[in-house]
Amino acid sequence: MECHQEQAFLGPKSGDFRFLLMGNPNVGKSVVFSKLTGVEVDSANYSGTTVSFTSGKWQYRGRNGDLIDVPGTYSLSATSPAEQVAVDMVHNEAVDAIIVVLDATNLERNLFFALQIQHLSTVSPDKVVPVIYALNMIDVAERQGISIDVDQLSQRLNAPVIPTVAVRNVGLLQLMEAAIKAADTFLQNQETSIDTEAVDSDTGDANQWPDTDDERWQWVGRTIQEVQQVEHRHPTWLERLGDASMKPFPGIPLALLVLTIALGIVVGGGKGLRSAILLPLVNGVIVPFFVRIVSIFVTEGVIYNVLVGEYGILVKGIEWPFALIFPYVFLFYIVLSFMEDSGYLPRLGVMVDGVMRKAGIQGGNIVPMIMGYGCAIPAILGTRAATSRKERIMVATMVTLAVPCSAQTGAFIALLGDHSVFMLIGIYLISFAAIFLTGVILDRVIPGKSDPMLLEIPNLLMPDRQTLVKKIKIRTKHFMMEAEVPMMMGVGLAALLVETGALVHVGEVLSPLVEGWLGLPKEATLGLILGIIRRELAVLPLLEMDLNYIQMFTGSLVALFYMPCLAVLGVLIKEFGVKIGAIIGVGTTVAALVLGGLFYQAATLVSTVL
Amino acid sequence: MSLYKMKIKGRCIIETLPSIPLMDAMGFRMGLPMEIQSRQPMGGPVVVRLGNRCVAIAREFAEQIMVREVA
Repeated sequence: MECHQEQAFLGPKSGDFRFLLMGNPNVGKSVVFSKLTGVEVDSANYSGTTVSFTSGKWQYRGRNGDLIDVPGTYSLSATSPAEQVAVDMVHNEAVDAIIVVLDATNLERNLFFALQIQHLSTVSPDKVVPVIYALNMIDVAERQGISIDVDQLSQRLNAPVIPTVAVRNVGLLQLMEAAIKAADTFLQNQETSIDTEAVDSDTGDANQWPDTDDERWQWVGRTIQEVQQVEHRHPTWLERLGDASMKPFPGIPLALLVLTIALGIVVGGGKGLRSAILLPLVNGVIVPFFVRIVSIFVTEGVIYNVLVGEYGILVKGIEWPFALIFPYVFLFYIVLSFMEDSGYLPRLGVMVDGVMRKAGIQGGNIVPMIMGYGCAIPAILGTRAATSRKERIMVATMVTLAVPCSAQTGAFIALLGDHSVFMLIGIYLISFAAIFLTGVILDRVIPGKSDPMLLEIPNLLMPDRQTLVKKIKIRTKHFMMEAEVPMMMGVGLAALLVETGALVHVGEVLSPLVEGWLGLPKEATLGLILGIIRRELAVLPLLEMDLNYIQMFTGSLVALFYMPCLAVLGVLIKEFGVKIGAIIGVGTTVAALVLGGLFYQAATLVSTVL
Repeated sequence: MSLYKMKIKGRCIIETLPSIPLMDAMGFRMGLPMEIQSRQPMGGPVVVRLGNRCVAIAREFAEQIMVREVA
């Protein structure tokens, strides 16, 4: 779902087949896509993971071509910007075949969509292309006592139906074989100018498909009766847990327990990893190694200091990302990926809907918000699954303003957690309050309405270990690669500002704000400058200063609300336009400076009186 | 009665429902049987089971869906 995974669409080379992958939300399209193309796209066990199309190359027995993954859609009448992408694609792109992924555990609803795709050929003759069906999650269906007569279903749909378990690579080769065969036959028929009757024999007789919703549901009902048998089985412990987690009791205590465990893993585990392994390794082995090497070639002076001085690129440029940030990013992605793939997040959304509605948005938005605790970019892109623009802007603003990313969390723990856990808790409580208040205010200010919850809850599943490991690895690697270059640049800039004395001059200019209003030392100006590059860089320079508790908290408060980093600002502008992007950017900065200053002034006054 | 007022574990059939594109697309239609799974506090959603799947429906929508209780 992250921006780098969206690719500019390039037409196929001559002779290649271009296949379009479609289906309802949360049927496993992205897993099928990743397995067939090797292109890694985000997938999870809830609807709305894919919010844009992605194209990748497939190869099979000497044949090759393009495969296009589009967001899941319940019907061909789009209800969100993400669904619109899929609908536009099926209407406007020339493809050689459509692969429709069906969820074997929810055949009824999936067949309705399949019929819409079939019906397309009756209203748009230029869309007469073969359709191939992947009957995915057939293993889960079997465990639930559902058996499907695949041959009969294939006859009813007049198209190949291939049972698959995409996460385990089951049936995918057969799927490709069927798609290539269908596209080959279709192409031959076209090239030899076979009459329409022959074309229909491959793609289905256009007239046999019902064209109203009522008729479609009747067709689906008859088909289900013919092809599906459900044997009553006692629910498994996962099914019982899945049902229990949707009830207020034990759902709410369970949600609190899950969140506490998640927090314990990220904060506790991160601190342990940092102090037991990473800090000793970085500060005891890696940094001294670089200092020794640099000392051989460079004499002490500005260049030496820029490389290995107080803010040396080879000192802080390694310590900050690898020892202070990496453990939290890594552990956060373990927790997030597990919750995503298990299907727990939508359940959490159901639990918190009552509270979130008071803040003007529905509970399903807990998904992009939790993603925002990793990075704001996928969270903002994830809002494309929302059904109204108002809701999208509200969630994007809330995330940008008051949800600290995992890198910033690492920085907060390093600054506050090592002195007082209460200060750390305090920052997060203020963050939650700010999210809530922002929602309440924006709900009144932004015209229009935000749609109430209508959310399908996926099956609760034990995540596939291989998929999970791969996902965590890719996400952590991506984050560190994305973070390392700007962080090195930021540290380099910090070193130059300090070594050339420029920081003193800038500090003097901003002194009324930084010293007078925020009560921070002049050097804290560095955090305000670097925070533009990356959010955690607004906090990390404070580690090098001798601050009291009030100053630490003030600095953290400013950093929490401070302007989005450059990458986030870019995404905001791309998604909502320059005006909205600028309003969010300026608004968050002003909020940071005003709230930080108010806190400092109030805290100083109270401490003086006491 | 409205879906929101149905008792937990109660079974019902939809008699009338509002015209909401996403609801149509998700397969809600007249005559569809459902079972109430849970109702969340603080005006939260109702969770219903439709065949083999569960859907959370906001109170605002659930109050507009009229149902007939069945045994």
